[in-house]
Amino acid sequence: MNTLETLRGMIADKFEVEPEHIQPEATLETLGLDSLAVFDLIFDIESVFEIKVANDEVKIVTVADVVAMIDRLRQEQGKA
Amino acid sequence: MHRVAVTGWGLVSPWGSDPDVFQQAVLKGESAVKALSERADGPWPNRPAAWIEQFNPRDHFTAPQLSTLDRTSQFAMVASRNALQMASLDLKQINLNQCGVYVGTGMGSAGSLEATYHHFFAEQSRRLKPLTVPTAMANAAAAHIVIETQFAGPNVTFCSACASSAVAIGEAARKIRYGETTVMLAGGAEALLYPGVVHAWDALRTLAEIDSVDVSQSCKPFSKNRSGMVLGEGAAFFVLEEWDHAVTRGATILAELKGFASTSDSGHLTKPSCGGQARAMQAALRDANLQAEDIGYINAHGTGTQANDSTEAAAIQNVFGKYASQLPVSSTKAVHGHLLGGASALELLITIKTLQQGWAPPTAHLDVVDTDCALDHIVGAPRNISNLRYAMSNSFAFGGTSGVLIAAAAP
Repeated sequence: MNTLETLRGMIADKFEVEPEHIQPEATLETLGLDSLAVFDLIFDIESVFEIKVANDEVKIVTVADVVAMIDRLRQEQGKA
Repeated sequence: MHRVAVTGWGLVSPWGSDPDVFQQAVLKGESAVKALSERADGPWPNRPAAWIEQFNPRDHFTAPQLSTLDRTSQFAMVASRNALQMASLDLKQINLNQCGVYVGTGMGSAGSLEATYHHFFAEQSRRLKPLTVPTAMANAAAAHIVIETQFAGPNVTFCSACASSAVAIGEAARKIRYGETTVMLAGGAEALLYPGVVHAWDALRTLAEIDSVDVSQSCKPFSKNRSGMVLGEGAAFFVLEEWDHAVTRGATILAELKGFASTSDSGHLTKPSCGGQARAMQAALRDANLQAEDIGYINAHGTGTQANDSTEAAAIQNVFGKYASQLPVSSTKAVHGHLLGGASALELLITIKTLQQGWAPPTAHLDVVDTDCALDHIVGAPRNISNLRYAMSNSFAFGGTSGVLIAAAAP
């Protein structure tokens, strides 16, 4: 499963969002995730993708931003 | 000074959230107390407690909401929603800046803290959930209620152990009396039945022994063979409303919140003082502009500990003098347990129901009254009290806070 598919499943399950709404261009805000929910999502992302997300990485706006961040950090942290 | 009407209430209890069903159970002396050893979810001490089984958070909240809702906050939100619904307030017609939320809780979000410490110390995890702090903060319940209701006036959490919600409700009423607010959602919530917390209470040697014949009878306030208190959980909330506002909109007025006082024993961390309790009752009577003989029923604090019950009986005798022998008193903690920060609110609901119906609940499991607790105890069955106009609800806390509320029957 690619990063987007995995992330889509996580967001859909945790935040009760319809999977078809979780498109790359969708913003996390329009999906109903406030700043606390984003912290909660990142916590799960760290576990699922086995990466460490630094505090200055959390300026993510869209689903595509999250996917890009995950893929980059997996590369940088030797998990890809 | 403005008068304060009670125009709505809601609760979460072992008998569910219907106030009528709850009051019927209390009137019948039906006990919700069971042995914690029945539960498979923890290393519990061998003690009785009154817990809520039929509460499914998913009936009330979405999964994202639950990510920041401790069980205490869940109880508080459900009870306050029910209270608002009962009051039939049209929030679009009210100046929300004049609406506030006052919450009492003793141990706040005890379950979330216990789970976090377990994760950190027992499981040696160094990755704690990012929402731990906002979930576990002691004022979380009040914060959730104001966000949901959009009430934008005062938002305060009162933490004075077993008197927390008496103080929250009393101070909320004062906000209305002084003309600072029009509507207040006030009450208390507690969810502290977690193994570590209960073991800590057990270590203090305050918890009742399991009754050898019937565990449901383990809490025996004012009884010669009382052996301690029984912890409970739940919530009760009220809509308090400026009297003319309630009348003008045609609200059903359930009762008037007539008087309140809070005092401090200033003596001992846990040992109650007759003087502090008596001063609180006297001050509440003055606040309500009533004489001792006007009170027709007292819902006692009555925890079932040796120290509390004899001290409270002495304080009632002190304040009411000879009239104490004719003043019906009961403690309902025998059946619903001690909700700490939620206790005063739940017991005020019982007190107001008693004013409405004229039937006062008994103190269950009170077969032989202790000679140190001589009062006009209601035992065995509910008592019909004719022409009941005013009733008092007592709450006395560890830390020395006394909170006394006086309610008047609706006209």
